[in-house]
Amino acid sequence: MLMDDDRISTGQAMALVINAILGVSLTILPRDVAKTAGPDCWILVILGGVFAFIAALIIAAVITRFNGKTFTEYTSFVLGRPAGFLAGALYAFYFVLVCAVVLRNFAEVMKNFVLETTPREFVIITLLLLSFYLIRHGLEPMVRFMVINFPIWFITAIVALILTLNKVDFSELLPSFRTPPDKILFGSVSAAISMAGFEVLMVAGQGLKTTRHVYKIAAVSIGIVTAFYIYLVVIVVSMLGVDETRRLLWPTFAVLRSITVPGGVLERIEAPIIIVWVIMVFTTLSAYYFSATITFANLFKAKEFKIFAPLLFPWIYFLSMMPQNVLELENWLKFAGNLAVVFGLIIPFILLIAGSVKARWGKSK
Amino acid sequence: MGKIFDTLFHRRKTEIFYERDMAPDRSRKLYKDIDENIRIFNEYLADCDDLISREFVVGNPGGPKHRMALFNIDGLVDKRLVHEEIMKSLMLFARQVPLEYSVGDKFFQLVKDGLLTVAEVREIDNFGEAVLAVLSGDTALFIDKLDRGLILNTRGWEKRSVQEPATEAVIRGPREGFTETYRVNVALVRRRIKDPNLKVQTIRLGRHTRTDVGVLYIKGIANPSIVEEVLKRLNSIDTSGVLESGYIEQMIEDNWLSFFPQFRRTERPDVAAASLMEGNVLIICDNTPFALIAPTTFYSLFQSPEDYYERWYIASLIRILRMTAAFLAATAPALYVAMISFHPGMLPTDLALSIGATREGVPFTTTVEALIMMLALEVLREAGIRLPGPIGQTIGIVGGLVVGEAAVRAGIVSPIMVILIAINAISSFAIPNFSLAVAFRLLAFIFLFLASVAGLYGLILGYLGLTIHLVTLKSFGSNYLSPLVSFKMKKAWDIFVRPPLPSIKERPDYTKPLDRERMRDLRQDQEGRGGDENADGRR
Amino acid sequence: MKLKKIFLITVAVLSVFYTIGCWDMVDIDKRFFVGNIGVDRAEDGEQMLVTFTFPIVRKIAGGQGGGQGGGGGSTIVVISTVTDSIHAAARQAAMRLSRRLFFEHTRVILIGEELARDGIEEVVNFLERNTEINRRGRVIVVRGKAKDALTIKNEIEVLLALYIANIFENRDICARFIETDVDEFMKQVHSMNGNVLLPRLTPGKTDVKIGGAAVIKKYKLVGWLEENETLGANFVLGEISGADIMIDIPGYKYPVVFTVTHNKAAMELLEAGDYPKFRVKLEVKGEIVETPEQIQLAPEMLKIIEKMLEDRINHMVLASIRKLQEEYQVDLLGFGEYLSKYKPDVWEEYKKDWENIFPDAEINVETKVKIRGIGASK
Repeated sequence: MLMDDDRISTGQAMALVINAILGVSLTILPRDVAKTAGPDCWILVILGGVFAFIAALIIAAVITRFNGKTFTEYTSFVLGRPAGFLAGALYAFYFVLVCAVVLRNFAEVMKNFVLETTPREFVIITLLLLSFYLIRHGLEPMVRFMVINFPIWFITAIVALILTLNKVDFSELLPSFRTPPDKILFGSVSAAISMAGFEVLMVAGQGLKTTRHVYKIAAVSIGIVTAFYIYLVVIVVSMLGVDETRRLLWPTFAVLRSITVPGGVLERIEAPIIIVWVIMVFTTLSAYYFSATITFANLFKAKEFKIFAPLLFPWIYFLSMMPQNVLELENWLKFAGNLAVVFGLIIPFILLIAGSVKARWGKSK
Repeated sequence: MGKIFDTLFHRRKTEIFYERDMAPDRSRKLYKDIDENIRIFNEYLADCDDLISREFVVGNPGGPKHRMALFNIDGLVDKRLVHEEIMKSLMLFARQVPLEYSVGDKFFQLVKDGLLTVAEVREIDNFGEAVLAVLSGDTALFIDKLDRGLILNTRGWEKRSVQEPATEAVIRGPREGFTETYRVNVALVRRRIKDPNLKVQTIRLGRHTRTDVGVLYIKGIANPSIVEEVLKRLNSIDTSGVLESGYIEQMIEDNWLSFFPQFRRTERPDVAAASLMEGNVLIICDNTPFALIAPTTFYSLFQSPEDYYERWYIASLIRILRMTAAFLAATAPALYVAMISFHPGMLPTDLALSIGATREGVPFTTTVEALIMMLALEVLREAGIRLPGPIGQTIGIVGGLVVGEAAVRAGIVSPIMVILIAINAISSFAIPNFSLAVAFRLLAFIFLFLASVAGLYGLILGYLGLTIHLVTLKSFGSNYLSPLVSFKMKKAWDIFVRPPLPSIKERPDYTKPLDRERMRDLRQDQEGRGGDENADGRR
Repeated sequence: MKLKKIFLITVAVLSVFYTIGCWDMVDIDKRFFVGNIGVDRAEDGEQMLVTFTFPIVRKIAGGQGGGQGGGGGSTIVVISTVTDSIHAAARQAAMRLSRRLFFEHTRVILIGEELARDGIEEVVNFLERNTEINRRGRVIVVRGKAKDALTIKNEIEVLLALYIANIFENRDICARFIETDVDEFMKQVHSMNGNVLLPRLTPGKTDVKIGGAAVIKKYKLVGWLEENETLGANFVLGEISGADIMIDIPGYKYPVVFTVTHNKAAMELLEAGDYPKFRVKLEVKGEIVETPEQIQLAPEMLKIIEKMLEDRINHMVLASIRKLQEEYQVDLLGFGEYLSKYKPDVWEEYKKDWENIFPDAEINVETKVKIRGIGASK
């Protein structure tokens, strides 16, 4: 479990959440939303942000309520020991699954855009090894790592998207508000899924220095991510057009492929930018890998959480190698997304309700 | 942390050291009998032909005579002092001493307080101290019938004078550098900080060398926990000899597996003084001009003293330049290989074609080519350092011009590779800290390897691994990458930009200083009063 | 202990890395930088004749004796192969080549006329699925065979691909062709169901000319727009930053030459009956660069010239619209797109049958010309 000095501040927690959210989902989000809502895709992102924010608020409420307790402690307190243990195990498996899906998606992108003949295994194992090296140092060093790399990919992403500005045609986002509301509603759930990542704080919440600002963390991090996503979706769709966005597997990178760098220093910049994107994937992976590890450690009340990292390693690897191809991977992604709704919204909600009921009941008794 | 120490020191402590038994013992007290003292002292320093021992008699003609013995080491003492201020005083002036003072303790007191015209006189009662003092260049004086001796500071040996430091030359700034003499070095710092809060704690390290090591800090600024930690680690050193501060550095650093120096070393007293005022602890070691500054951060290693003497625009620009140079020093060959062999699509078409043309007929792959050139360069550099100046230049010309040009003409390497390696080498020279530059050169090889396996992806893996290492690295409890680790934008700014002096109001965080305030801004008060007349004088 | 462990790990990692090898490493001098891809219908009428050109690096680079070599033979290698797919063609060509074909610097994709008439789906799909081809490359339809365009003896530029691709840079002074790149082409072809305008290339003996446009309807080439018609179409597309328009003034031998520097087009739906009624409003700004020597320009004179220019542009634009409406019956100037974006309700009604409705749509053009400069003399 976490050492006493292994605690993170509010700002660091924001970095953790943002890094956990932004990763592979940004590569496919434009396609997803363009598919369901066409030119209204940006509305989906906003609504998705709202949903994600509500989910984050619920999680924040849970964390505040069970201030300082580990995940397993409070689930078994609220749901009883067996159910709590089960919930913990489910969460851990969910985190492992997300790790695998993230890794595989990453490997597919690398295979397509950067390293055509390098085997996926190599790409996956190297990144997973590095992630292992990072998380065994503990929560605080991991978040410090995220903070340090934050400006690098953030600035790169913004610059890359600014470079596209001379090619965008915002009329592609017309006509507005013509998608039926039910479609918008369903679509925004899928957009909200791409903002999954806040649930990391459910288990990492025990490492917070103070739980006073959890709501602030939720607001700021989800806000930043939503803004980033809106920007991304608007740029991608207005550059490629709705129809082309729908067809491409990774529309975000297709946009990068048509950027020219002023001054002609580089002919094509998708390779270097995808390389910077590796940092984002890496932080997402590490956040989930760490969460899985710490959840297991809590479950078995281990003194050192580190020992679970190597134990999970092969599982993540094999899971990530299971999908046959990209299309199957898509299904896995969807599955993981649906799980995100369960683990990011439904279970925290149950915990919150059950917790407050129990508290009231305990009081009246 | 503790683990490393255990592995480093613990096992050795359990062994029995024969040397220690030979070492002078403080528990061995002096005798009243001077003959006995002389015998034992000579026994300690038997077979040391550089020992000078002199016995003589002091006393006024009518009064009692006192036998005295004087010991020092030839070459370590200032002969003039011994002749004029000790021998002469004792032999001539002692005759005029009134009779009542010339017996026993009283005489001893008189010799100590009134006769010896040497600045530093110390009383001792054991052989251990006496031997050590004599070996350090002092003179020991034994007097008959007294179980105490006097240590007279007569240190004076051939030493280098204060010169301009060779490794940290500046265009603007003091030209003084530390020398090999501990006292001189401490004095150079003291001259800059005339504050009783500047504390100097001296300990002796090395079973044989008995090297003076001083820990300097400013009380009230430096965090006591860091000072304590430094002292604790220093005291845990038990080694046969400390010949240079590098010994200390490697023994007490946090992570001995790291490429990166965890101390900042300096030859300049002004740098030392500046770092003391930032709350650092300074370790000065005898016999070397290199002092150590702890704790340190990655970014402070990029600083040169001049940064704070020049105007801030220039200093900032140079600082960014150094960062770029460091980046190139570590990654230039690797980036080139990644681009040429893995992602030629990144290059503009014309450039790709012309590079392709220069590589026509080169028999090796780009990686091997780069490796050959990098190794050749390292060899050249090493050869250049060892050879005396005039020949060293020849090496540069032969190696750089002749071999480089010939290699290109022979078609073994492509001209672009030569350019690239040259840029790489020059960049590594632009890093102010030599140890850091070496670290970056080593990294260049690792990055080259990674890039040759997986192109840009290999590079980013290397970058991630490096960052993880740096993030977790600590120097005396301070984050090595501080101040980048937190969201304090104001502090993070100082990495790339050297802010104008008036805006540096606080000491840096990483030293955890007790007193944060570096400067109180008096100008704001003036502004209130001065009003318009000052308006255009100021920005 | 620790040191030993670290040493072992390092050795293990290093050896594993190196024994499994460096998969993607192909040195720059082991690649052929394909500049052009030409796709034609093969002689048998079934398969494709795919042509690649790439430079001989040794010859084009100035240094090391390459200079003299330049005179000896062509610096460009042209290699053709007959297959069913472009990707397979690259692999087939590998049997005849010492180095790897490399497409990241491909600038030009030429489609032969015959193939274009049969349909360009294969090219579209290849371009979309492939991640190597530059998305800023040019897609051009060749009048005749694409291979003929690639075998010209060009002396202007060392690289044929750069020569062809850089012609498009002149678009801002001569808008008599369509400018598009792979990116734009993909976007249009997918959003407009395979209807798209592509630039047209006419091969000569030593040079090529890019002028006019190929009209692609449902992935098939149905005909051409000539240069003047393309200019007219470009007015509607609002993409002109440089084009010369000449008007004859009765009684003078030489015409008045007007250079368009700015052009703005706005569509407007006037009526939405059975057939829609559009008005295209053009705002053209420019300078007069030549006049007959005898004419002295005066404000009233300029008014007259403006009027004449307006008529001329109206006429030109209408001609190209008519041609698209009547001859090709395909909406390539964005009328449907305009409806779908700005009049979605109207569009709902027309959407299904737009192909049949568009040819009968009534389209007016209204041009406003403003002469902003007259050069250095009156």
